[in-house]
Amino acid sequence: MGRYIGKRVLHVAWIMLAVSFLTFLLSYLSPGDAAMKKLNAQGVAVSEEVLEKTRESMGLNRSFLVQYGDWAWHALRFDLGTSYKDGFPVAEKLLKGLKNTAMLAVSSILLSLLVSLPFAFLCALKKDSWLDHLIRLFSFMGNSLPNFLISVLLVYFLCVRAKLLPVVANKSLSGLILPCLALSIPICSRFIRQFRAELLEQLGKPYVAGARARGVKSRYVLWNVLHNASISILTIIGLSVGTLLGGSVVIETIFRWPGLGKLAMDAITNRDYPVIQGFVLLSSLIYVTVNLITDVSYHLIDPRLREGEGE
Amino acid sequence: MSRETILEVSALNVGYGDQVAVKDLSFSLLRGEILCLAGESGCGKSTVLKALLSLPEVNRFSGEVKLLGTELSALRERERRETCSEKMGMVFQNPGASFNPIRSYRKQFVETLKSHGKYDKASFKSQVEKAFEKVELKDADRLLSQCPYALSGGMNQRMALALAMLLGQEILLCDEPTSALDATIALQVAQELKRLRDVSGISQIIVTHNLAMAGFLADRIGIMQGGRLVEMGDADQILHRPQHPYTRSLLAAIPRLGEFSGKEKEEVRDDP
Amino acid sequence: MKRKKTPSSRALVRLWIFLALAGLLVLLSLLAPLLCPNDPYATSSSVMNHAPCAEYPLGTDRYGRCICSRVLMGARTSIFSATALVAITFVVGTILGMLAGWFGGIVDTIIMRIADAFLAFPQMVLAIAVAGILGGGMLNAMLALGVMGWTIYARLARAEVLALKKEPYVQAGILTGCGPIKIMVGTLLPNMLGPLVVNAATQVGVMMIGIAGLSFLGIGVTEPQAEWGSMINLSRAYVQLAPWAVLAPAGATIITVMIFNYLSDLIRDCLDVGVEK
Repeated sequence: MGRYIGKRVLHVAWIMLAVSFLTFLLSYLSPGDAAMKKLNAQGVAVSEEVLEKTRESMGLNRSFLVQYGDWAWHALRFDLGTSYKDGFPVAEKLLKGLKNTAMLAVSSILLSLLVSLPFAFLCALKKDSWLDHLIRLFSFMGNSLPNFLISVLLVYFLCVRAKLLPVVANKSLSGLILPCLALSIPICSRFIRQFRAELLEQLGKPYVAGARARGVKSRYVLWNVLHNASISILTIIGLSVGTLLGGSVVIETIFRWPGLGKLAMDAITNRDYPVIQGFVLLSSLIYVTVNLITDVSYHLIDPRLREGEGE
Repeated sequence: MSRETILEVSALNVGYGDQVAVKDLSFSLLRGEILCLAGESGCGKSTVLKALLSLPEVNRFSGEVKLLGTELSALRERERRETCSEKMGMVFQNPGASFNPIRSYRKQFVETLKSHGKYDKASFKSQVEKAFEKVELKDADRLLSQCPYALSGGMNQRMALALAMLLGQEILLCDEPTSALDATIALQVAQELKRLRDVSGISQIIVTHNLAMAGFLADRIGIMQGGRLVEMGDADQILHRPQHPYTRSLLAAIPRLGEFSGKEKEEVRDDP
Repeated sequence: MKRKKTPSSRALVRLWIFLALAGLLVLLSLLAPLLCPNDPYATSSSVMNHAPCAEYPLGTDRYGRCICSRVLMGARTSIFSATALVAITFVVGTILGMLAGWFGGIVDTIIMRIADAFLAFPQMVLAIAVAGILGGGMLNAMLALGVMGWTIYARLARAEVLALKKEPYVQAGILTGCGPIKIMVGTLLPNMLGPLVVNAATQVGVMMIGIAGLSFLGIGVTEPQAEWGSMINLSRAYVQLAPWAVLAPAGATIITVMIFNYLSDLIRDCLDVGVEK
């Protein structure tokens, strides 16, 4: 088991190397002069001299690989440079944003799980009943709506028409409700569809028929089903973290939630490339780590996998 | 020596959906008897077992089943299933798959016991050891900690039998219990089944397409064709003096070591 | 071995209905310039945020532009760009996946490592970053979404090729000296198309939502080009004054995406194949 974790961590390290390279490449390839962008972001008037001096200080006259190496080396020590706009360390800004986004993300996942698991079970157990069709209809609709659309509609119906909730988020609980709902609806819909499929597959397996024939009570049968389905379920949850990270950009912008996503969007508007780079790097790191954890957890759930190591 | 009739089936018609798979089935099972239902694929023999257990996927159209004197159709569905699964145990063709392959036997045994209201934490260990003894399994603790995927087919089959012993079931319904096993292991399991009957008096209905196995195990054999019971009698009589033409053709179709055509066999069979 | 069941007649009927609906949408978007009641780009300070009326069937936005016309033109943008994007990523991804699966070895390693690296990024994060850094515009938005989009087809195609390589009829083809390209195109491709097409159909909806999302954020299709996402963004501040300016493009997005999504579900049901989660 230890060897397996070691291999996976190595794989993550290589992936992050590639990710950091691509991210840096992205900024590097962007149109325009980096020094110019920095000065513009600060609102400084640009002259040839100032431009040249800035280029020197930013190390832009070095080769690409040297620049990348320098940035990557600093990144390893959690130094992601400073923001073009206000000079604050990027890492600091990201961490602050991360706390808030984490609050939003965790509550969204919890809410989605709380709603989707029971519904998925219901649908799987009562396959093709009117209830199954109704729930699937709603989950289909939720899945087809872009998250920004859901947010706008939520704002329209709950804030403008019904005046139930404040439009602009404050960090209190009531400010969390709307963005959390907006993030949860598409995720919950996807969960229902995919969990249902997985549960149906498990319910068709011979051990379920065997247990029922032996008179095992439903609640134990379902617990066994949940146990075996949990590998798939964890995978799906892990993948949804990616959706959350992407969705947070839109949702946090709409509701002005001070998280990573809003930080990224502001950085894009201000052409604050160090922050954008840091955001992409951090998001990927989170995504890859979460999927690493789910991968490793498979081995805890399915002992058959523990023996297939070293392949 | 008269033994009590523990199972009585009269004019049973069951099937799936609207299709009748078993037509007009009547037979009875004595305590301590091993009855084999033999026939080719699709003749309905597995359906009989599922119907006896009152599994929900099987529709009962008409007929009666009396288990230990209780008329099953008189009971409500839930009661019926509870009674059936309490008194009758099922042994499957692929034992490793009929249990959850990735959870320990201990957890699954406990869950089954709890479902039948027979779990007692204090006496669990001793009960298990007694049951394992009956099926000649040692090292109960280690075996219980294993998951089905890690054990061989023969071992898993024994664990299934051990569970039946643990539950104190009186009838064992076996659906092709040896068909998925290698020849030597199959023989071991068959011997185990026979021994169980001898030691604990548990009755068995064994469904198989392997007439040789039926000959080894059974007291009585019933031949099924197209959902009907075409012949039923003592094992000896069925195998050596079959009356029904279908039974004869089934027996003739068995390849025997040293013979090369079915014709020779048929001539041998016709001797009184 | 997967058991293939023939789709029920009900499922086939539904499939044809939704294929027709999707076709109708494509037709509408093609004919958009002819169907617009007004010039979609013409602003007018006298009819800003005007309610729906005879002249402006869906009202006007804050610049006085006809919403109905812009929704129709937006259909063109969304549907075309999404299908074009899916087509391109489909071709590129499938080719790369087939090469990786067929030749194996170093080719396989390189292609799959690159795919792995791209898959490490959450899709929308990368798309937003790429679109944001490269600046707005339809092409940049498509590039942003496409840079990861090919990986789905590549992985799937590779898996299929690896499985099919072992089939006896493929082995026979190799033994009789057929060239790799002939085998790949003639034999492998037709047998692989099922799951690939299902994924492609699903991706149309995903790409549409992606483009709309990027445009909503201002880094996709930009003003004054008509696009549903950017229309919603533009008018959401005025939603109290002129809800139709938001609801019309919203409704169009919902209907279109749902039709394409349901269509992809039907295709999958009829082909009876699994879809990558």
